[in-house]
Amino acid sequence: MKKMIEAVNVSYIYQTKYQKTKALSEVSCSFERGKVYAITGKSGSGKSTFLSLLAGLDVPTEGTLNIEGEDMRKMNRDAYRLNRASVIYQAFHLFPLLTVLENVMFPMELQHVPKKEAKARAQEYLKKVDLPEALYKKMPSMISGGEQQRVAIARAIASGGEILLADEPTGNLDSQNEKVIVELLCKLAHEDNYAVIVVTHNETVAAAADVVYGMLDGTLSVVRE
Amino acid sequence: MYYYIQKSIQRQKSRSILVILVNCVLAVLLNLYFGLIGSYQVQLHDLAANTPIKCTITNPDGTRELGIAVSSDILRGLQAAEQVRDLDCSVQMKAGYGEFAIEDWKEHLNLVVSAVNKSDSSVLPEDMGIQYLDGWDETVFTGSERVCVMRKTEMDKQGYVCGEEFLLTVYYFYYNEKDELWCGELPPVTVKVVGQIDDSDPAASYEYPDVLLPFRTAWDLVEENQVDFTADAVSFYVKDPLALNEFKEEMGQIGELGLMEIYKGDNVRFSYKGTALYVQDGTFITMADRLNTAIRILTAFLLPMGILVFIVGYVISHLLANGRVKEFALFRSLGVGAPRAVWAFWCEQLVLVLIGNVIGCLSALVVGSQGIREILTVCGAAFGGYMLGTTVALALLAKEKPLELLTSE
Repeated sequence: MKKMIEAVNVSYIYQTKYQKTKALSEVSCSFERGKVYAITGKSGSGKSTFLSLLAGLDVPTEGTLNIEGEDMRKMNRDAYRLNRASVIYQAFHLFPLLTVLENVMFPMELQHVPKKEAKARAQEYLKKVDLPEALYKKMPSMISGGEQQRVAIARAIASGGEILLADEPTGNLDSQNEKVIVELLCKLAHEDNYAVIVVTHNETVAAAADVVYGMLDGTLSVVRE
Repeated sequence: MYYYIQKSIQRQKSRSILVILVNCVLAVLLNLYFGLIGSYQVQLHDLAANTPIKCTITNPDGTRELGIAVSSDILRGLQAAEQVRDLDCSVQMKAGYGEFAIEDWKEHLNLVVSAVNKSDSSVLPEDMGIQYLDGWDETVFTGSERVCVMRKTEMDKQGYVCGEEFLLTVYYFYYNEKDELWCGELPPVTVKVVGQIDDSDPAASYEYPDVLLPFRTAWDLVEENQVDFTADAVSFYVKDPLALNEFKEEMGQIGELGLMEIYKGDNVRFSYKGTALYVQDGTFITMADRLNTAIRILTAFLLPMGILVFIVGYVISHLLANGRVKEFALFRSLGVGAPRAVWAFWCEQLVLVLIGNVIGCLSALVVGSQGIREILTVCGAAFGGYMLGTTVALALLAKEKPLELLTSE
């Protein structure tokens, strides 16, 4: 299968006024569509930094990060995040001022999709994540954690991208909801051909992944493939 | 993004109301501040109109204002001066009817003559009840015609009526080198009566002159006989009290030595020469100085006020933005570029600030004293200052690293 994302000797150095910290050291790996990848490691190992680079929120200090053969440095990274890659978070991070439906419509509004079409598509995505219609007009604070994470996933896939990045997506959920989210992520990868990359401490999530990478002190190694 | 901005304004009511309120208060306070400056400026302008500065020609030591000798040079200078208004000149003379020998002056030189350039001259009693012949009015005194206005009793005594002409022999007064008062004869002149003074009340009219001549007529009569003409009382008003320095500079150019201000000192010899100027500007200067000081103090705060508006805009926006850092990070995470994300927040503030300013403008119209143009200018400046602070605060937001704010680590 063609590599969706390829990291080649990627290093990242945080530079402050008084010191430099090497957060990533010559990380090389690849990600393909149709698979779930888990990146495990302790806090401070560099997992979130790597996720930040995969999301195009920053560029590597050294090495290259290619998205379908295109160097991330030469790309419009805002357009990349808008159209191709989406991130979901442990704390869900839905817009508190928008309803569930409006949250899912938001990426499509950024893509200038007509409101009527955006609404119809948003409803489709919410159905896909099994969210009851009664909740569409609710504000995020009125729904449960599991439901919020499902909305976040719906919002993530609403932009029509192929890459789904997740930072501890089940960190704030109970075991039942955790199972639902993991199943949803696997379904998106295996049925809808997303490249799903999950940063996690959770063994259940790691166990469900097709490939597991381990991050330790900024270096990446394959744990299970 | 417009949809998000609209929802954000609608659903974050407390935040929106705070920004609107702050801007409303800023607009009102700034308008009151500028209104105060404007009010002082209007007062200063009105002070000039309501506190006229009277000037009187005096002798050098300032002891006499009447019965002095003001040279024709000085008179011409004052007539031509730009900073002089309502010039009031007069000269007292004596006269007698017809021709007579100078030795018979006791019998004939009985008429008290005042030559004035305005009917309400300060040397004349008020309300003399002058009635003019048809075709004549108080402007007769600004001309140089051989005409006069007489007391009615005197006219009745002589059997004169308005419009009648008669021969008048006029005597002028002058001071010699020893400051002695002398009288000089002028050739007889035919004058026409064009008005009469109502002197029916003896108690009121005992000070009335017998004959009133136009000032310029008297001046011409004296100069035609190669005699130096002098007025014996001159006063006027400063045209523009706010240009007092220019006025005094102009006065310094008048006459041979320039009209100096009164010099009171031991070395000043007494003289009847009208060469000094008494300017009654004490009250005006005191009040004007106070107003100018107030204006100066207030305008000194202009820059600090501008900085304050900027700081208020910066601080409020910074505090509100601090609470929305994650929102901003989420925008970035979803593919909104930093400039566009900042612009969305900025637009939201723009709408709220604009609403606050409009309400502030309307409130300032009600409570303030300024016109709509001034209010709009002030509100525009407040709007600009506040939005500048907002821009700086939001620009700093763009430096935040999104994923650090959103991730679990």
